[in-house]
Parts: sequence; structure tokens; C-alpha cells
Amino acid sequence: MIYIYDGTWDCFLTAVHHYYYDKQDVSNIESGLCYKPNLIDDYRAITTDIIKAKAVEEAILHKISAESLENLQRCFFSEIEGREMWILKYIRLGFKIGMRIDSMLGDKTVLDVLIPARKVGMECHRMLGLLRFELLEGGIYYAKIQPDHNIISFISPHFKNRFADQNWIIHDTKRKIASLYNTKKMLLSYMDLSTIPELHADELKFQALWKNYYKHIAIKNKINPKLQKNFMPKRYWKNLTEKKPD
Amino acid sequence: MDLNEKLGILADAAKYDVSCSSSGGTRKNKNGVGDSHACGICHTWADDGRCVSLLKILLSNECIYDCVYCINRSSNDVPRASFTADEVIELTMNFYRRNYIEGLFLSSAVLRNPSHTMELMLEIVKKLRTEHGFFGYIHIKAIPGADERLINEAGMYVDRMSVNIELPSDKGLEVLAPQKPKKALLKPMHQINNRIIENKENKRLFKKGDSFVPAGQSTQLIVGATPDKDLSILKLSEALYGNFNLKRVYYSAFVPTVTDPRLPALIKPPLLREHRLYQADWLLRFYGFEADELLSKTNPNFNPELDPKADWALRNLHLFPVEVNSAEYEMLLRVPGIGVKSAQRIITARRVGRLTFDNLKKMGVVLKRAGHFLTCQGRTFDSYSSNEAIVKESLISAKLQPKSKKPVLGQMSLFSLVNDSGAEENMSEFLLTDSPSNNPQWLSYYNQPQDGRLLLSDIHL
Repeated sequence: MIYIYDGTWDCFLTAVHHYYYDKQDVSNIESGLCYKPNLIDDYRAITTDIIKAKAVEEAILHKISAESLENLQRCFFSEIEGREMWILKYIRLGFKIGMRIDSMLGDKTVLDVLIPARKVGMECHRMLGLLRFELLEGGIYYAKIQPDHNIISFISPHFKNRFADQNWIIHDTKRKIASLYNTKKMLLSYMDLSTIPELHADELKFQALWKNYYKHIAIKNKINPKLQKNFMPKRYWKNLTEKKPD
Repeated sequence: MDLNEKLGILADAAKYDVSCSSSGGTRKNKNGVGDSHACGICHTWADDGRCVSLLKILLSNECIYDCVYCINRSSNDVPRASFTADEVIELTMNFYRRNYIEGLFLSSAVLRNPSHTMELMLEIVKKLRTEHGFFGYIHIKAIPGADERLINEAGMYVDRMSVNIELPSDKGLEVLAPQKPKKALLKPMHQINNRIIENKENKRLFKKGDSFVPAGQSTQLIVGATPDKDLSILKLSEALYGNFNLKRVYYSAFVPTVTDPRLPALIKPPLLREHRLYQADWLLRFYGFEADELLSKTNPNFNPELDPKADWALRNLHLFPVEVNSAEYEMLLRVPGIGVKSAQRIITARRVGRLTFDNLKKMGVVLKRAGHFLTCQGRTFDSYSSNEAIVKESLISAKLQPKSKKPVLGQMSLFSLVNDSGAEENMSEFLLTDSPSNNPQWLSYYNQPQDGRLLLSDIHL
């Protein structure tokens, strides 16, 4: 049996709930977004049931640990193919042995979840630095990102604390989602902006100053593109103000 | 002169300062803009591969001093400029709000006199905090010789303060920076440290009040402009960490920006040497090593072929192999191929089960290196040998592997483990810069003991 869910965390947890209570032999849990039906497998479409989802979350929290729940969430939002079954296996092992699972750092079942979770953690940290806002007409700071993993919900609270007195939008244009903040409330929503307001009259001045600073701060005798790309892979450059052509 | 041109000049003037860290801050946003992130955030990496975290600029490069090694020396023919306080504030606020930077790193040449310079810097940090609601990270230089009260007041607004010790020995200072006697450099360091301790004590007693330099103080020195040996430099760092509670000592490979008969004639900056010093510095701070274990009077310089930890392990093969499932954490840290992260993982994981080489590999241990120094449940790794020559050969060749994902030579970050780094090493560069200069001014200096005593005695003020 293959479970098909809608790609969200809550729907995935609902599927986990069904797996435990309906006692079906589940060979895979797949997102409906990428599932291609075939004639051999049985499949069942799962619809989100928020009560069931919360029940599973509570169970992970109490029967395993808060640390595990965080790692499972991060692994899920890595969007790496195959993560659903890694998470299910981890949960099954965790329900058996409890929080000891957090110490099993050399175990394959655990590492299948930990490695994607670490990748997500790494990209989150990187993005706190590499995200760039542009000031738009009307006083909104707007940032475009295209991260490898779906990290917007993990990074937004940092910007809410830091830029508490600014209106801002962080837009993941790859996934067409955005977090929006208006100095009081923050919300996450689907967003497909085709027309973005014009840049603020001062914006290009500060972009030019920043580019100029960036150019000057490198020491010419020590130029080291390999080291630079090691820390800052090229795929992140397209949204960096300092890497935009003049 | 327009702002863009000034920024270019004063960024150029500041870029040889190596400190970039924005770590150690705990400042929270109180109805303004900005906060600190405990482990610091890098915002971009310049073309030389160095991280850019703070807006690093000089307030002015119009210097009254004439330090031989410095690009801003008064006799050097470079364009000069000075920012106004409002210009620095405008740049800081606007760069910060766009998430270009983590905060401001403000330094300055000595404009007119030390106190005047310090006063201008104080005005900027005070305005940022009190008028602009800025809670981002601020690092400023304390100007040696400035009025103590100015330094104390500035310390209440900033996160980190630093005084450059400039050169590893007082002889070096005497020859290359005659206007900066070592006492003048050590005095503010001493003062800042005392204020930090005093402020912490007051906060503990009265449970309120602002913090003085909460992210601590750091310093930097230039490597390769004087004939000091690595041992003297490392002993100096050890003493600075021990006596002044410094958070970081930064090393800067000497970049010849000026030619002078008193300076060595370098073709390239001694980058490998700088790298080895950073590796050893990490060993002092996070791995429980002492300077005397890494270098000695008979062996006062780092091995260009091997990183300091591998070099130490090779000289102490009699202590190995150690059993992964029972060795102390301190001993695990000393195994080449095991970093802080993997040592911590080993300690955690072995609480719930015995570890195999396969587990270790999955936990991030570099077995190509660690395999020579470990046993797992009594068994040795496939390539294990107790023969020094074979181990050495293998440690060296482990580095000459094709360019996989090995970290590249350069300033270290939290994510690069000290024992795994060091690809891309250019031996000729190392040897070239290490050869003694033929300058007569230095000749007497070579005959003096090179064990760091020269400056150490002055630290215990």
C-alpha cells in the first residue's frame, strides 16, 4: 500500500497516524505533488486531519523527545526524496526505545534523518547571512530566496526579532511561498508575485555603496576564489546584491 | 569628496585588520532594530575568501604615526579621507536594515592625538545606540594612549573592544613602530580586562546595569614582518588568553604594502604560516593543548608538511592507539582526524552502544587519519601501522588526495575542523618567507632567546 499525502507536514503526520491505527502494510508515503500512479501498487489518498496530526506530534514529543521532533521536522522540510519513509522508520524505532535514540549517532536509521536535518540547519544558518533585502516604494523591505530546502518557516522568526520595526517580505520564489511582517504580526502564505513594486528612490544608492565596499574589502594579493566558493556556493549568488552585475 | 569615494578609501585602509567575528554577543532588540546572534553570522565572503560579517572601516586614515609595516603610515603616499559621524551612522543603519552586515567594526588611524580620535569614535557608537535604536553588533578599537575615561565610556555601548598588539615582540615594535611602545599597547588591554571583570562582579551583586564589552576583547598581530619564531608567537597568544582573558588572537600574514629596508623582502604573504598559527591557536583554545607541547626551543617553527596536531601525534606515537569506546574526551580530541564535533558525538553515542569503525565513519571521523591512532573494541583499522615513517607518509598523502571536499587554506571557521584542513599548500612560499632577513638591524635579535619571554614579562603588569 502506498499513502499519498498533499506534501504538508500535517498531512504527513495524518498518514503516520493511519499507518499506526489502520494497521496497513505501507510500502511508501509519497507526496501527491510528485506521485505517478501505476497499475501494480495499491494506493490510498490521505486527507489532513489536524487532530490526528497533533496527536502524532504529541506522541513524538512525549514518547521520544523534543530534540527528535525538531530533527524530524527539519528532515521533513529538507524535501529530500525518500525522507517520508526515513522519518517513519525513525519514529518506529523511537517509539520502541525512547529518547535513547538521540544518542545513537552512528546508527543508520538515525543518520537517515539526522543528515538531512543537519543540511537544513546548515542552510538556515547560511541564509541568515546571505539573505538581502531591497527597499521598495512604500517602505517595504523585500527579499527573494531560492533555498535548496524549505527553510522559510525556520528562518523567519530571526528576522522578526531583528527587524522588528521594519515591514518586510521574504519570498521563496522557488516554492511560491512568503513570510510577511508588518511590525506587529508575521504570517506565512502562498505568494506568486509577478509585479513587485518599484524600488525606493534611495535603494540603488545604497546598493552601489555596498558593492563598492565589497569590491574594496578583498585583499588583492590574497585572491582565493576556491575558498570563497567553498563558503558561499555559487547557487546563492543570484540574489546577492554584491554579486549583481553593475 | 563623495561618500562612495570615501568608503573605498577607508575600506581599503581597514581591510588588513583580520578580525571579522560577530560572535559572543547577547544583545536583544529593545524597540529598535537589531540583535546579536550568539555564534555570529557571516554575511558574505570577499574575493579573497575572507568572511564579511561587520562593516569594517576606518573612521579616518589620516595618521600622525609612521609605523613601517602599515599602509596608513604618515609617510606613505595614499589617498586620505575621514568620515563624519553621520556618514558612518548612515552607512551602518542602511547596510544593516538590508541584512548586508551584522554590525559595525570601527577602527581609526590616530587623527591629531589618541584622545581626540577616541572621542570621535565614542560619539558614533553613542549616537547609534541612543539616538538610532541600534542593537546590532559593534566592535571598536581602543586607541592606545587615549584617555581612560573615554575608553571606559565607549565600552558601555559596544559589544567587543580590541587593541592591536601589532607585532609579536617588543624588539619588533621598537624597529617597526617606534611611536607605539609595548607598554602603551598593553595598558588599555589590561584596563579593558579589569573593567570587564569589575562590571561582571557589579552586575552579579546589583542584578542590573549595562554590560561593559559583553562580547569580550580580542587582538591581532602581524606575522612575517619580523624574524620572530612561531614558538614566540604561540607563547604570546597563550599568555594573552591566560592573563587578559582574550576571546581571540588574530594573525595576519604580512602583506607588503610598502617597501622599506627594515622590512623583509617578501614576494608573497606567508599564508601557510598564518594558517598553521590559526590551527595551533584552535588547539590551544578548544583542544586542551599547550604551546610547549606543539613547539620547542629545538623545534621553534611549525612543520610545513603537517598540521600541528598531526605533527604532535607523530612525535607521541607511544601514547597511541587509544580505544574509542573508553578513551577520555581529552584524549579523543588529540587524535588526528577527530575534531570537537566528532569527539562530542563519540562521547554521546558510546553511552548507548559500542562503536565500530563503520559508526565512526558515519559520525564524521576521518579514518584515513584517525585509523593510525585508534582501536575499536580492541581491533585496529585496516591501514593501521605503528611505524612512524609509514604513518607520516600516510598523513601527508591523505592531504594530497584529489580536490574533493577538503577545506581550502584560509581563515578558519567554526565549521572547518582544525585537523582536517590544509589542502593547497605551497611549500616554496613557506620556505621563502621563513628565511632570515639579512638586515643588520635584526642580526642581534637572532642571537636572543626565541622563547617569547621578551614580551611575556611585560604582561604581568
